[in-house]
Parts: sequence; C-alpha cells; structure tokens
Amino acid sequence: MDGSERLKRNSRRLRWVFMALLVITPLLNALFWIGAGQGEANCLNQLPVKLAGPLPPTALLAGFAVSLITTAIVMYVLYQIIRLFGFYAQGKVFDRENVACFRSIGWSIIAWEIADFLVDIALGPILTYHLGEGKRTLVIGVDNQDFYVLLAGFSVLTIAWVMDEARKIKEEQELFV
Amino acid sequence: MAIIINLDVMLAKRKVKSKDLAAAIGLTEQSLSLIKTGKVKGVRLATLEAICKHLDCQPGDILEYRPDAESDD
Repeated sequence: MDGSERLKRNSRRLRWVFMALLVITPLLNALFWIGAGQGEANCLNQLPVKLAGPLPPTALLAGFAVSLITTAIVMYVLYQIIRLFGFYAQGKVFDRENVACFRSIGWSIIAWEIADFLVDIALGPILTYHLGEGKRTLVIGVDNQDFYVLLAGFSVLTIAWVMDEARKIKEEQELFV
Repeated sequence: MAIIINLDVMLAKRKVKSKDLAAAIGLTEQSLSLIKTGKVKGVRLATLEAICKHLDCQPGDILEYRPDAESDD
C-alpha cells in the first residue's frame, strides 16, 4: 500500500474517532454538571470557585447553559477536524478547503481560550449567588494552560499559512503537464 | 505568452482525436485541453516526447515562438 492509500485509510479511521468525540463532548459536559449538582467532589473541584456542597437547580442550569459556549466551540473545532480528515480520506491534501479548515481550527482555539476566560468569570457569581451576600465570589485569573492554548491556536494559524503556500505550489504544479 | 502551442493543428493533420492522444500518452483530457489552449505554465519534456512520438512530429511542429503574440492572461 503506498503512502497515499495509507493516508486515506488512516484519515478515515481518525475521522470516525473524532465523530465519536463530537457526540461524546456534549454528553460529558452534561454528565459533569449532573455530577456537580449531586455534589461530586471530582466535578466541584474543577469549577473556578470552591464549593462545599451540591449546587441548587437554578445555579446548575445557569452554569450548564454558560458552559455550553465553550462546549459549542470545542464541537465546532471537532467538526472542522472531521471535515479535514474527510478531505484527506478523499486524497485532497493541499486544497483550499484544507487551508480553510486549518484557519477555522486555529481561530476557534483562540476563541475557545477567550470564551473559557469569560465563562470562568461568569461562573463565579452564577455558582455562588445562592450563598447570599458576603459569600458571592468573582474569580478572574490566568494560568500556564491559557498561554499554551493561545500558543497552540497561533501555531495552527501558522500551519494554515504554510498549507496555503503548499496549495499555491500544488496549483502551480498542476499547470505543468 | 510568446510561446504558441499548435497541438490542435497537428492533431487535425494527423487525424487523431484529443481523447485518443490523451489516452495514448497517459494524460487526462483536461490536461491535454490545457496544453491545446495554452493555459499551461510548462510542458514536461517527457510529455512533449510522448506527443511527438504519437503524432510522428517534431517539437517545433507543436511549439512556436511568436514574440509579438499578446498574453492570454
């Protein structure tokens, strides 16, 4: 089997993996909030604010709704990755559509980081409002992960730029017969 | 471009259809059409050799230099 066939075969397999992730991602998010509602320590520890007990239904629903913003971005990234591997499975490697996928993924990673930062800020008051005056919390913070995610986003955008140059070379080469 | 491709003339002289030439030299009809219409950026020597061999002609029968010709681009 030559390289091209191997690429197509592996791309088809990876496409299925990411399609499964696309389905699992919102389910995991829902399970997380169900766990937080039941006071699961593993779930509560991942929230931006420290909470001792289970969340009331209003806080739970509001938190889940806000978290859907970042979940939606993750799902969009997965969708673009599925599209990208779909193109690879068809043997399209250096086409305009591939470049568009890389750009979408890069900008979406950056958007996710910004959204995650804002969602964390929003979750503070949402998840502590029920505790009453004097105990409501607003959390604003950045850590190493934020930097690495932004770095990943800009790296993918640079890769998109390189892929676009490859596309131009390929199109030029197609005009040599 | 100043290089004119007279492939269609040679095809008519030899009474060979484009699709037959394409099949004989291992090109797609689309690629051959690009050559005929002069929309290619270059022709590989191997392709030129295959065309000349099939049409029993010289490269000069297919390629012509005309410095006054306007670019198609």
